[in-house]
Amino acid sequence: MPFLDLQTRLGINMDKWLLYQSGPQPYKRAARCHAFEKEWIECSHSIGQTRAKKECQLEFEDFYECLHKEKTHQRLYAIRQQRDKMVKEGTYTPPPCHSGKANESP
Amino acid sequence: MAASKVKQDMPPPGGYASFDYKRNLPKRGLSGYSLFGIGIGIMVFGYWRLFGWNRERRRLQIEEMEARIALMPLMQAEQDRRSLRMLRENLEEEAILMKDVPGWKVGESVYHTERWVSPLSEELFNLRPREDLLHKRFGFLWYV
Repeated sequence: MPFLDLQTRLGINMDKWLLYQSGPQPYKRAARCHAFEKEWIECSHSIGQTRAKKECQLEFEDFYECLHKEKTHQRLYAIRQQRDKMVKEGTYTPPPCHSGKANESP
Repeated sequence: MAASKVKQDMPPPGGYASFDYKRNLPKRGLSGYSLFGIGIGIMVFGYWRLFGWNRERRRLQIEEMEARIALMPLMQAEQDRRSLRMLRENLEEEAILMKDVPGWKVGESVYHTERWVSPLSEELFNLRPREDLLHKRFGFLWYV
């Protein structure tokens, strides 16, 4: 309930553990997008939803991108398509590090 | 009956020798209590050895974990160098490939923030043969 906050009163954690990734995790292992979510929550905390949608747009977009990686995949796909096109035209040969086994010592 | 002259099968003269026909259930072996005692004694001995060996295994496990902790900086540094090298190679190839594509900024980050974001396997292995990515993802599995 919104104003009673029974769980804090009773000291139990019935569903807070699944509400956001930035909460305490088992074995103290941070979520993959912990930083982005923390930034977004800190930005949009207690300023109301209408203001948060305007002011925290960048943080929210970063968090969304971290979750779904849409822009990353699109970018990688575009690069791959361009490479395949240029290989078919014959204007590009992949360097040895990108084709088969080069010397992969770190 | 008169004494017959027929040959019959009769016991030997003097009768048969006597033999045992009564029950023979000798009391032998240890008592029940001492058998319990022997069983419990073997169990206690087994527990004693087991607990000692478990403590030894725990010490060995701690040693293995400490070795892992000691090696972690080296492994992490190697992995980081490898990721950075692959990212650098990808950046240079991207510069070569997307030279003529209009409106493409090479090395542009998809995020608005300036923080370091750990690269995905897909990003690192983007321009390499697909089986390298599959080997990275599925080559070693913790489960069976």
